Parts: sequence; structure tokens; C-alpha cells
Amino acid sequence: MSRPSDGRRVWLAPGGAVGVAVATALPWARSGRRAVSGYDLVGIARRFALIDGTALRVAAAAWLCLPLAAAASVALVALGRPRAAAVAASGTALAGLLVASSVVKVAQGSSAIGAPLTIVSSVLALAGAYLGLAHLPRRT
Amino acid sequence: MDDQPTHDPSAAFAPPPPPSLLPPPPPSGAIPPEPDALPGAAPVQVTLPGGPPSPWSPGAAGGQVPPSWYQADQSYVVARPASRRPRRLAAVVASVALVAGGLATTAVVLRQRPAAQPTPEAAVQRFLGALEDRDLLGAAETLAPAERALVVDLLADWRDTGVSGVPTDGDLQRFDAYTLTLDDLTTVTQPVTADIAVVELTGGRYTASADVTKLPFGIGSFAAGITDDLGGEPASPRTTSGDLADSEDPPRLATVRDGDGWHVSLMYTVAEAARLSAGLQAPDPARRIADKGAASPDAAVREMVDAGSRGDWRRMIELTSPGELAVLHDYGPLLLENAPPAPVEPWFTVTDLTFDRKSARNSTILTVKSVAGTATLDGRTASLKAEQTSAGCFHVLATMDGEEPIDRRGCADDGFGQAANDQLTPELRDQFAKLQQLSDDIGGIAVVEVDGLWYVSPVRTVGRLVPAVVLGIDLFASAFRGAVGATDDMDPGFGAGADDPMCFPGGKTECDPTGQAD
Repeated sequence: MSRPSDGRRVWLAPGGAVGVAVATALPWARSGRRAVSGYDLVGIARRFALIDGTALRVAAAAWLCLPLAAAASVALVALGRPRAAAVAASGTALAGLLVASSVVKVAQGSSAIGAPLTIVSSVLALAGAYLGLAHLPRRT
Repeated sequence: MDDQPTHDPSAAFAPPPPPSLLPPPPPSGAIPPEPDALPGAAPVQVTLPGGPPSPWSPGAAGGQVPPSWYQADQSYVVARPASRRPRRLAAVVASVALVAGGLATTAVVLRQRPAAQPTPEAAVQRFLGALEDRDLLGAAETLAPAERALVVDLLADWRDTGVSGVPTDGDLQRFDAYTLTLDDLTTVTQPVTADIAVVELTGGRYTASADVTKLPFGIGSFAAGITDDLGGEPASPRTTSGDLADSEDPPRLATVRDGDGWHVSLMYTVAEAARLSAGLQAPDPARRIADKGAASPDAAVREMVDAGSRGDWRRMIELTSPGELAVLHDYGPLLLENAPPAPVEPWFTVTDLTFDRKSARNSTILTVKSVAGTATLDGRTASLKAEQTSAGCFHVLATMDGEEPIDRRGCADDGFGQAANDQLTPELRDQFAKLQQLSDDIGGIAVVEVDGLWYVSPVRTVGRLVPAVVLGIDLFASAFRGAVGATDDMDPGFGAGADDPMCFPGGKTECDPTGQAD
């Protein structure tokens, strides 16, 4: 039998995933007066032929699907599938965490809020996913 | 996947027994959960007419019954797993809406900011808009793909050399070497060929300012340092404004079309300016010089050298990279019409040419390992043979009819090293050593592969040398500062001393009437 707090706990992972998706749309860098979002950055990388090899191409394609993955995570909870939602949120969070931490490392001193916020949201989503996967009882 | 619904209400919400069969009230602290905290079950209110008051009724002894189970009006609330369907349906609808929203967002993300534009005017407008925003990334994005790739590759190469002054990500954010505003811009498009069009900026007010001290590649700091050394006023941005309609020679930007749409092209802009200046006709696409690469990197350079020795300009153009120098292939026929005639006999003959190879970003760099050849000068035959014996060291043998042969072995920094030890400060010596190392690293001929064939890339070859120029500027600036900024208690550095010829009126180091620096 689920504990009463499960109802709130299961929303932490998809909430974090939504946070990742939103944060990736915020400014990650600036070029002159133009704010460049996380999606812009990937687009620029593609147009500048900086994405070489199958793995990077897949990663770039997956990056553009973050909003979909976050939405799917929320939808899965609404459908009563919290464990699947946690997995979807984990994928979203891992992608956000990896890319955002790389960007923060490269663009040291940047005042853009997108990448740091993505990292925070990713950590939240991962924590939520851990709680969900580790503590929610399996279907019997 | 082994999935688990959030709540499993079935166990908690089994219909309670009829009132008459109700068990005794539960002990304090063992209250059943409230129905509204348990999703999937809807409370159903049942009124029991004339029913006796239950000992569970509010106010009764114990008073521990959840009000939702047995309310004040004595209606009995029965929780049952009735009708989960509407809630389930709502969840499904909401989920579908969410996923649709996610898909739509992804689609928007995928479609944003296409690099190519539907018209030449749109390409120029976007390019200028990016420049107005000092958005160098955006401006570069509007460039023709081959030129864009060239810029990125060269920047990456320069950054790999570790030379200071190469723009970084932070510089993109802080870049403020100029300001530009354009209002009420009007343009006229002049087609050159089906895939080339020139957009002329025929009207519009502009205001522009530039601050050279903020230029990248060390140029800005060099300019600021020189100004300071000379005791001059700090450079201030120079502002100019006007109306493009008043310009006798309005700015023109060339655009090119590829499969995606129109892009601004810096190469074609230069070529068009040169064509108009020379009064030549527009290039004929039917006469375009085809791309004919060589089978290997070495072969590309050898064939280029061979074509050069014979004055075979067409072959030389065929061998140039068809990407970043597509303009040369397009405008090549115009050049050939005005090129000097090929010599009757080759100007020189190369009998041996071997290379060392190294990789660079999207190109291969060839450095000469050995070269041998002959040439006829004023009726006399000269020959040259040179080979690299070790890193930075060469053996050169040169002969000419009637002259003593020249046979030299040595290393590139031999002569300089002697001088450096004697005359330079340790700091400058270190910089010269860096310049030497850098030249070894970035020197060479760049060749690129396109569709399995190899082409020479003069732009990359020259472009890769920019870090050496940057370091050279830096070195010169250091030497200059050492000269003009020297004081009696300081190591004077290169060229500075009591009889230092490098003194500048108005500078920190004044030239006095006797010619002595103070």
C-alpha cells in the first residue's frame, strides 16, 4: 500500500524534468546583445558543423526532444506510471546535467542563467527519480 | 517494465459493511484514511431515513469517527471504487495534451532560426541585424556554409595553438569594439547569375562607431599599449553617421544560393567589388572552371606546383578547394582572360618534392620535407636541393653555372639564438622561442578532401598563420614597450639603451636634443 507522501513524491522527478526543459529554453550564452538558449546552442553547433559522428548527432537530436521527454514524464505520472515517469525524467535530467555542466565549464564567467538552472533542475529530477524508483513499491 | 501505480485504492476502499453490521469504533489513532486522500474512489452519500443514531455519530462518546464517513446530517458516506473512468479519461486527455505540447515545442525548437533565407534581401537583412546586435555568431551563421566552416575551423585551429588574443566564448559576450544602428534601410537586388545576387544598400540612416582598442587578436591591446607608450590620449570610439542614400559608392553585399536558400558571402562580395572595379562582365555559369582534385594530399600540392611552373592558371584553379574558394571557380574564366600568358618553357622544374603530414581541423597540413628543382635564369641553369635533416634543421645545396656551389647545413634558429642570448631580455627571448615553435606548428600547406579528391586551400594555408602574426604583433609590442618604456633602473630590453634609436617625441622616453633618451 502506498504511503500518503507518495502522491507528492512522484511529482518531483517530472517537475525537475519540466524545469530542465524550461531552463534549456532560457539564455545559456550571449553573442553581443543576442541571448542564446540551449536549443540555439545546439542549432549553432549543427550549423557550424561542430557535431561530428553518430554519437554526437544522436545526442543533439535527443537534446531537441527534451521538451517532449519532460512532457512524457508528467503524462506518465498522470497515467499512474510513476516508475516509467521517473525513468523518462532521469534521461532528461542526465542529458541536461551533462550538457549544462560542459557549457558552464567552457563558458566560465558567463552570467547566463540557463545552464546553472538546468543543472539545479536536473539534480532535482534525478533526486526525484531516485526516490521514486527506490521507494515506490513495485506492482505486485 | 514493472510499473507501479501511484495508489492502489482497491484495498483501502472496499465497501464498508452495512450500518447494522458496522464493527465497533476503531480505537483512537487508528482512523481510516479519508476518502478524498485516496484517489480512485468517489464518496457516495447515502441517507438513512429514521435510522438510529450511531454511536459513531459526532458528539457521541469517543467521537473518533471521520466526519466524511458519517456526517452531521446523519447521512452515511460510503466510499466505493465507483466510476474511476472519468478521472482516468481526464488523465489520458491531459497526457495526450502534454505530449502534444512537448511535440509542438520540439518542432518549434527544430525549426528555429534557419541559416539560409528565402531571398537575398532577407539574407542581408539578417546579416546586418546580427551585426547591429554585435552578434558575431549570428552574423557567421548567415554566411555561406563553406565560409562558415572556414571561420570555425580557423578559430578552432587558432585556439588550439594557445595563442593569447584569440576570441573566446566570453569575448563573444563582451564584444563591444563597435556599435552600428541602421534605420529605414532600403535595398536593391541585382542578380548576377541564377545563384549569385548582389544586394545594394541604397538608403537608410546609419550610425557607427568603432573602438580599435577593443579589437580581438591582440590588436586592441597593442593599439592601447602603443597609445599609452606614446603618451597620447586614450583612444576613444570614433562615431560616424549619415544616410546611405548620399553615398556615391553604396555598400554592396553579395549573396549566394545553395540548396537551402540564400546566404551572405564575403568571398563573393570581394569578387564582385573587384569585378565591378575592373569593369568586367558577370561570370557565365556555363564557363565555370570545374573542380578537379588530385588523388592524394601530396599529389594536390605537387600538381599545383607543376601547374604554377608552366603558368597553367586553369589547372591551378581546378586544384583549389571548391568549397571556400568556389568563387575562384565561378569567376576564374574572368581571371584567365586577363592572366599573363603561359611561358614557352616552364619557369622552373621540380624534380623532387616530399612532405610530412599532420592533421588539422577538416584539413591536412603538409610541410616540405625535401625539395629539388632546376630553373633557367638569364640563360644559366640553377639548381636547388633542400631537405629537412631533423626538426627545424635543413641541408641546402644550391648550384648555378659558373658559380661556386653553396652547401649549408643548419637550423632555423641558429643565427637568431646567438643574437637572442646577447641582446634580448629573458621575457623577449621566451616570446621569440614561442614564435619559432608556433611557426613550426602552424606552418604548412593546407589541403582538403572533397568527395574523395584533394584540393589545395590557400585560404586555410594563409589563415592558419594568423596566430604567428598575432604573436609577432605581441612580440613587437613588447619590444616597443621595452624600448620606449625603459627607465634607468630597469632592464632596458630589446633595442633600449643609452644610444637607443627608438625614442619617440611625446613618449615616455623622450628624444633630447643630443639624441639621448632620458
